[in-house]
Amino acid sequence: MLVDLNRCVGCQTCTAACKQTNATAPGVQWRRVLDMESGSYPEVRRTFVPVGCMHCEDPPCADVCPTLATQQRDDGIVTIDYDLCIGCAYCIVACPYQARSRVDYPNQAYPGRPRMKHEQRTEHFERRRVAQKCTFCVDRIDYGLANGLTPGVDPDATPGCVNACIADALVFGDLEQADGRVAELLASHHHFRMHEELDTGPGLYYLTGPRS
Amino acid sequence: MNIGPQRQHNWDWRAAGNFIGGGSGSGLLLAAAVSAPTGIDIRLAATVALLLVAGGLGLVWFETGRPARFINVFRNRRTSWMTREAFTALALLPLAAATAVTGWLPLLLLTAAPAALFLYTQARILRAARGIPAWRPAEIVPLVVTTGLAEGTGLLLILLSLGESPHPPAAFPGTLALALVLVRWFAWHCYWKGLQRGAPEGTLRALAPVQPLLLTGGTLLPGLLALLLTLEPPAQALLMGLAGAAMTATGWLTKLLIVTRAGFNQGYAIPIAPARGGGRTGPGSRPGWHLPPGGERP
Amino acid sequence: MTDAPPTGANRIPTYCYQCVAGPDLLKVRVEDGVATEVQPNFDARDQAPSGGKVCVKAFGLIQKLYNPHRITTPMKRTNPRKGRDQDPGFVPIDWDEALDIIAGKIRQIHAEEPLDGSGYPRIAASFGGGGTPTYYMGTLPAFLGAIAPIDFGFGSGQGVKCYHSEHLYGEFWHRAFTVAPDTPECDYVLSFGFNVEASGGVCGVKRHADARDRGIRRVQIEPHLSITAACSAEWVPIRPKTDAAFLFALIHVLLHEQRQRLDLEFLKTRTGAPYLVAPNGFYLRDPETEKPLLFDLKRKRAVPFDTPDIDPALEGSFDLDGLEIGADDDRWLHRGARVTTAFGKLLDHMKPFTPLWAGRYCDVHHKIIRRIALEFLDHARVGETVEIEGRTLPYRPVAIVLGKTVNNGWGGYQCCWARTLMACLVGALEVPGGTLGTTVRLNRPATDRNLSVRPSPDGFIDYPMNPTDRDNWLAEPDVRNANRTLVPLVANSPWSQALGPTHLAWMQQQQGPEHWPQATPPDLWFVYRTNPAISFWDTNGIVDTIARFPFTVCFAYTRDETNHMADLLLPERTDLEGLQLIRIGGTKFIEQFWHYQGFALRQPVVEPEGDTRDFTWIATELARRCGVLEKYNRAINRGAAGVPLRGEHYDFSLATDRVHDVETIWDACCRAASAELTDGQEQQGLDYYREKGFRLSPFPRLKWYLTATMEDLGLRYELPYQERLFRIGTELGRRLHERGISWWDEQLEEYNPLPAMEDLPGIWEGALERNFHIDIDDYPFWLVTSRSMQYAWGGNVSIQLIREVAGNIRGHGGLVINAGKARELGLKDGDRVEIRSPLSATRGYVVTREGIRPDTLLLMGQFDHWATPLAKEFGMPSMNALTPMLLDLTDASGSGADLARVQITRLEETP
Repeated sequence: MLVDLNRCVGCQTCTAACKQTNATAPGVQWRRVLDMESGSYPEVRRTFVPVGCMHCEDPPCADVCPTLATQQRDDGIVTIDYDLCIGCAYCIVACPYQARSRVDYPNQAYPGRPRMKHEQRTEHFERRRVAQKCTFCVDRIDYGLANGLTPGVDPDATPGCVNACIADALVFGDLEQADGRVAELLASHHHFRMHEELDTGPGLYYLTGPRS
Repeated sequence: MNIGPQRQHNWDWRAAGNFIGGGSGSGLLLAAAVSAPTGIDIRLAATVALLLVAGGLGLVWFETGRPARFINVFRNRRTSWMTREAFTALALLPLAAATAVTGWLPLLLLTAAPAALFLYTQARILRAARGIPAWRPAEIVPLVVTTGLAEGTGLLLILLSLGESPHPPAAFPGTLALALVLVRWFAWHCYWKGLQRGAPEGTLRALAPVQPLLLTGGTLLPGLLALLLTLEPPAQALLMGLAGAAMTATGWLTKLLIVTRAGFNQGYAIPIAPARGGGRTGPGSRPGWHLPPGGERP
Repeated sequence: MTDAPPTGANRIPTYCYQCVAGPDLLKVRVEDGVATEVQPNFDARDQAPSGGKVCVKAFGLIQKLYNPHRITTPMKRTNPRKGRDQDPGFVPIDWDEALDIIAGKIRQIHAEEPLDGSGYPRIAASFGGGGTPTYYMGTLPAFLGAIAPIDFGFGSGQGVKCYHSEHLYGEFWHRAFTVAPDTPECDYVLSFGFNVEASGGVCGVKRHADARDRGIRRVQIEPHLSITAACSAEWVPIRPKTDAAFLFALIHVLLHEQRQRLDLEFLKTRTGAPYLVAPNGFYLRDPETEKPLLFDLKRKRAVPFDTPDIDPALEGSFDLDGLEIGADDDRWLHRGARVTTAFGKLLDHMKPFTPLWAGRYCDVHHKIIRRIALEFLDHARVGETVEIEGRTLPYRPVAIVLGKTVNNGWGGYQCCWARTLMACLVGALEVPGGTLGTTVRLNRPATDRNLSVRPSPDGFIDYPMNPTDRDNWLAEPDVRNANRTLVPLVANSPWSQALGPTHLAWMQQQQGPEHWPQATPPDLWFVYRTNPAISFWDTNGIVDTIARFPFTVCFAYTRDETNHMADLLLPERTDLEGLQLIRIGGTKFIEQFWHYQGFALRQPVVEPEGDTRDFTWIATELARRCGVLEKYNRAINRGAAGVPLRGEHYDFSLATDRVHDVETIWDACCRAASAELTDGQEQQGLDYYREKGFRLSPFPRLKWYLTATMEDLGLRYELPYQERLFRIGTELGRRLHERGISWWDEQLEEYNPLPAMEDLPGIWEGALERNFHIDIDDYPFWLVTSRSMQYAWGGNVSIQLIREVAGNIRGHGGLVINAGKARELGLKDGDRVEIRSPLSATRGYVVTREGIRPDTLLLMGQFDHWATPLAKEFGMPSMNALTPMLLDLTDASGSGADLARVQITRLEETP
């Protein structure tokens, strides 16, 4: 996934869309956008930085997971098998991106009130008291590939955050595909990956400006 | 929303309890094994060690979200130090129990092997937690190992001091203790110096009190006492007890602080601010980090 | 693998119009009758400028639907005492009882006298959100039309939190109720506090992101580093309320340093720059035709402005004969009088405003100001053209936009004038790449601003001023904010009441001015999608006022601070539950200019919650019970529901003597909409729109650029010289003085033909010192506000999802203060402080940031709730409680600026 920092406005539409697509509990944000300042007055910059699971090439979470609940698929997506996870939170402390969380409380926005109808439908008990994080909406990707759709292009095969992003700041696709949009943007823009020095090989690339 | 490193809350005092119990317990077994010829109470040492290791594991088991699935912990011996810790515990606990029951020296010596391994796996568990800058430095491994040994030796000194003999054999344990507090201090020093090269400010703040504490209470005081012990002075038991308590307590406190108070996560950082439209790129930001001028260390 | 995509098998199209930057099209995923997810509507990907996407607010609609705090039945107040400290004692009643109570009140008012003793309507209604409630209230406008007169003048932010000066002057000068850059073509934007990334909606955000990709250079000039400043190439932290000085200095550089590089052709042919100004300040006119004169360099004499084949002089003074017509038809016949071109007057007027002067005043280095002026000029590409749909137009990819506060209150006129003039100087007004208007609200038809352009006798765009002459001036205001009496520019459209001095309506409830009809509370007040007890100023005072209103009916979503004083609550059927067809596309607010136009349907995506009713059902029932069914149906037939049911080739009119059910009404609207789009060829009804969600036909891009129409009609933009405003201002002054009214004199001073520069921050300081007897130095900080994209207009403060995600944006947590200043004051993040203005005090937590001037504090959004569920737990202060309503701080357009002076004191230190 690419994040074009020149385009992102920090609106949190991706955050909200992700929360809804994945019915995450209050306070849990698999995708969110940071509001960062750098420099000091009056030479200040403010940058909006979408973060979440980086689906690292060398995911520390998968290394430490004692149960093999966290796995890396052949396509690089890092997944969690909620039925295997024991909720030891080792992966949470192993992740340098604060992408994982363990939630012991129910998906209920208004505690003390009757649970809302949509919350009743999307209880996700399997996710309770185990580790959870962004899945890159892997069900969509699998559906898309099985049905001849292109992830990142066809909405039914694209992560919810990317579909929702109103600034088109999030770009999803196959990094390996040489003629794809992802490769093209990486070639034409300066970019970095967060905490690159930690050698996890994060899969989110941040574009900072055209190479020209 | 906070962008800089935040103190992690997933591993709390219970997790710290595992590192304390596991480290001290395995350290005690190792100390007991090497000190065995001096005639310590093997049964007692093994019992205490067993309780510590099992207690620590019990605490951490209660911390898991799905304790009933504990059996899954054995699934990833290929890369997970937690799995390896669990396997080691599988060997360690029955052996320690058998030693506690029998008091048989060869069994104690046999138990020392998984105990050493256990201690090492615990150190590697922290080292592999790459999201926590206070845990992941390579220097954490010698620190956890040496403090485990020091705590174990400290406990051994306490056990010896509580024994029936008013003049327990002190020269060897004293020498061992002296050596270990010095080695531990060296390990701590390397660790702490490493953190100075780049760590969350919160981590450094949380660990700042450890430096004087470990120096005085964890090294100088027990070191001095241990030195005295090698001379087999009067009131030997009291001195042993004091030295042991200082060694152990400071080790426990250090680990408690490292796991809980100093357990800040990485936080977020950008090396550069993007160019907006026709503008230029700007400086990046790594809030909440202590970095030496011009230097940056992951 | 199932056949249904993971995105859902059942997705129902509808729209979101929670803010004026909409509407945006969306789909709602429904599973087993439960709405679970909001998704973009990618069916509109290629037609809607939003790409079929919706912003974060729309994602709150699911929780909005199922919010357990919703009011789901009609309720009646049982405690006759009203006040913040009173429990209203609401008890559920049935719809019959509720509607009978309302109808009874209306019947009684109509039977007695619809106007009270002061001539004010006894029925009032307040709607918020910049007109967006209209897109949720079904046929209620038809009902309101049927029971007129109604006072719509109790505002909830109108005039003080809108782009007020722009609405009035923008529409006057170039049919621009709202102004936007031609972002798809623009290369350089100067944005004075215009927070488009937070307020421009999906369309604005996407267009500007595309523009940034192209390398657009946007300079954001404002006291704090807003979302938009963050996304800009450069941030210039200007001293609050000094934008006019900055703009004047830009004009100075262009006029006095770069005059030959200006678009002289545009100035000569498309503006009033060459018009000759006579000694009394009015145009010199041809005595026979009364047409303004200009000096033709070819003929070497003065000729009427519309004489063909001329080369008008832009500069120079001439001794000429001619007629000058002043206020109230005062006339002077001049012989050899010394006259000067309007442009010449402008040159003299702008001479003192050098960058050096402005730099000191604005606290911005003068070199920056000069550089920006030159960048603007460099990017303007004067002389270049572009072809749009076969027509050649000037290509000027530069624009200036103004934000709120810049656009409100004193200084708004100066800024709007300067901005529009800057565009004229380089020929960038209403041309590709330049500064565009996007909608009209005071002129008609509202659907196409090009069609609203009609020639004035002087060669400019005609404008429906409220009369100021002796015979026709509306001496007795017809509504409490006196919009037509005091503000000629506000015109007289259905929107005009909302654009009067709306705080005057509130202020008079406390104390009215001299020689003025006694202000009265309305006997019946309707409130929908607005919460003036939170969103206006002096909110404590407003709460007291509202508590004195005898009978208030609130269409209520949850309990809130305004409906705490209600006598009757009618449960709102929310966004995803009601039925309504609206017009989309063409050119609408902010950046909503489309390549298409058409209609979109809002429809119930699931069974409604509780005992709520569709707004159209409520309106129809009320019309029936009030005995105005025929008028109501006629209004619908005329188009009160958004589309006239009868056209040249079709007639779907409803029988006027009958009650029609909701579906029948909207089916007729759908058919008329289809017919309108196809010239009567097609007439698909409700079922079609239910399935498709929308229907569009192409909208020519040429219509984005008013200059094409201006060329066709041979018209000029009425700049730089404001003869007309000068005349009506003079007349208005005479009318008021004839009645002994002098309390509007400062406002009258604003009617200058060339805006005077004033010490604008000093106006605030002086007014506060005078009215509150304080020393302004005791209140060292300027307090400003900024838009929260997540909350603005959405009425969504009780939505947990919105609260949660908005928390990721700094500033939602408390009072933003410069980090260095905070250190100086010994404050740190999380400290609790009291924020005190001369009017009142509030409390909040400190949020330190580098991106704000040390003399400025920021409180985002509008919070301070004490009754609204969830929101009342935020502990987030609002500047609204701190900002006084003062006549001294009201400008001639009836607007005030969101600006306060405050001091802060630490209450508790964060651990």
